[in-house]
Amino acid sequence: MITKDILVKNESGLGSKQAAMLIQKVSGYKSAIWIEKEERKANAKSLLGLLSLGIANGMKIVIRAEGEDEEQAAQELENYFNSGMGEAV
Amino acid sequence: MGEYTLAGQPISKGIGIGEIFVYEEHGLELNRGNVQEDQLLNEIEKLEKAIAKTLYEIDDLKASFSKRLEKDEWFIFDAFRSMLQDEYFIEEIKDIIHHERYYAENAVDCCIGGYIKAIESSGNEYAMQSIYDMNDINARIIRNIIGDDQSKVMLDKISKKHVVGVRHLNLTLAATLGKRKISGIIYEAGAGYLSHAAIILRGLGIPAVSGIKFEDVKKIEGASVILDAEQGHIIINPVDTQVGEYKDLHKGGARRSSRLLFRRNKPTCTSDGYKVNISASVGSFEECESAGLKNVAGIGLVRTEMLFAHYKNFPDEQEQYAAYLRITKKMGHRPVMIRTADIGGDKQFDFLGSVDSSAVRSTRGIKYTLTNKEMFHTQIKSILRAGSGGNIAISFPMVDTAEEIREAKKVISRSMQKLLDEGTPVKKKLKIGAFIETRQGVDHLESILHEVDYVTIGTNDLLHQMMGIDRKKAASLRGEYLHPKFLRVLKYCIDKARKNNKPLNICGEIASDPTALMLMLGMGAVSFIVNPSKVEEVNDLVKSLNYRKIKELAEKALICKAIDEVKDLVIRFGR
Repeated sequence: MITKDILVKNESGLGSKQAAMLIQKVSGYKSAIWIEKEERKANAKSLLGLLSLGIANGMKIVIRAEGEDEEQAAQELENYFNSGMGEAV
Repeated sequence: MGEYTLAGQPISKGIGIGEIFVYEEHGLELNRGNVQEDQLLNEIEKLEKAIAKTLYEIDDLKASFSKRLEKDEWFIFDAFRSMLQDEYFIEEIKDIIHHERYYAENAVDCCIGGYIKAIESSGNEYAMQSIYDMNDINARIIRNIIGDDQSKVMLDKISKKHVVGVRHLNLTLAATLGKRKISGIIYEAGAGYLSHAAIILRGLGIPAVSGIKFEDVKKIEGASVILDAEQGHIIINPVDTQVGEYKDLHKGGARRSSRLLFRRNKPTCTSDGYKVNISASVGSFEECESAGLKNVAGIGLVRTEMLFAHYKNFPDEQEQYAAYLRITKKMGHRPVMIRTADIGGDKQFDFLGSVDSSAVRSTRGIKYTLTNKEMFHTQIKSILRAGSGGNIAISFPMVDTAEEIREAKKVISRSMQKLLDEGTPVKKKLKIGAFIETRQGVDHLESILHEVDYVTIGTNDLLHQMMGIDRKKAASLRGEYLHPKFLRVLKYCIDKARKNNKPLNICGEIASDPTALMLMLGMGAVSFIVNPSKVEEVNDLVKSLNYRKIKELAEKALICKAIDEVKDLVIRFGR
């Protein structure tokens, strides 16, 4: 199991488009991946689950991955968040 | 009742003239009761079918927009797809059906409703945006479960003459209506300026105004209206003169707003104050965007065949209209010269099928389009429409004779008449120009000049033909355009155009080669069309030159006998 703390920095946060792109990124991994915000968590492969977290600019979240390719999966997600998910940070 | 106005907020700019069509989606009646145990599997099947159907609809919308819009604009459809393919979501609904014994539509509504509540509780404004999308997909799935044939029947009646009035505009409805090439949309609530729906309508060039009460719209069903999405209102029962004025005002509006833009673009001058016009040649919207930001006088050439090179079928009028409109809008007041498709001969595209390979120059450019009139009409009509608010001109490729221009003009006037009869706003007074890029074209230049407003010398093709080389193998030609024989042909064209008082543009690689550009300038050419990536370089070069000196240089070059003499001359000048 691997966890990463992330600070969301792009303007729109995790909106429909950003979440859809995130799913395209994680869908290839075998590991189970979750995104946590405060006490709530969502499966990173479920768009509605991700959207229901209401992740916005400036929020702190945790990426949690578990499985054979957990390291790469968490790394790719971290990069995605840090790059601003297609927007300027 | 006489003429009156209803006001709202502009969401997608433009002017739409047409008749009101009221599109009313029927309320969704959900069965909130419980399903019999033996009917549960039936509900699961209904759910799966509806999800598949919705997915199909979304794919269909995505496919029809992915070519017309930028990726950023249509990517939202991928988000919708992801929701429909979210196995956790689907499993959750199935669980609800099994455990709560809910009907499929109720299970969907409860499940998505739960997610929406979670977002609402986050209280974040940005996160709220996705609620619209979730409500949209919710309604769409439910419609597909309970069946809503009435909406489909109503949709089929909508055509481009309609300004469609709806109560609530969401993304899928905007996209579905947008696909139908309507004159405009007015709605009471829903899609805000920053919504995905609004972004798509702006991308398609469909005018839209929000905040118009649906109850008011229902009272004017069938009335003729002017939708003024520049100001944000509709005029009901306009008088004829008003319609005419509106078409003019639309043009004027575009001019006004871009005058500001123009101020930023100072003309380029040589060090001794000789004015030079640098415009860009583009083959995609991305190139146009990059050109739009630069110090260019305008777009001197839109290679329309390149805009559609990846199409399987020749694009229809609306697809072309949308593409040209984006470019003219981007450039505002600055002129945009749109060249009709230069296809045929060795320029082959998927949508043409196979063409006899022996037919090269004789069937390319204007000749090809004159023998494929339907395609030509479609293109001319879409250009005339897109130009109604901008500063456009039409250029024809590979012109050999004045007769070809006369024939093309007939096509323009027929297309214009057809559009005017339909009441579509068009560019009425537009300049037309000829690409001179064949020996025959040079030979007939004088008579061609009498028929056009300007000419553009397509130096690449002209050089290749004069040197007897296939344009595909032309890589080796670099520098050949310094040949004195070729320079003299160009000088002949420049002088002819000047004598006839018609502007002449130089286009092709030669325009961005520093040596050749220097000679062209010295020979009296003042307008160059270059690749957007070369604009800055060419601007800088021009500013560094002294016109008086390069004029002397060009005079010497023109009397050289061999290409090496010209090269020597230029090298010595450089020192």
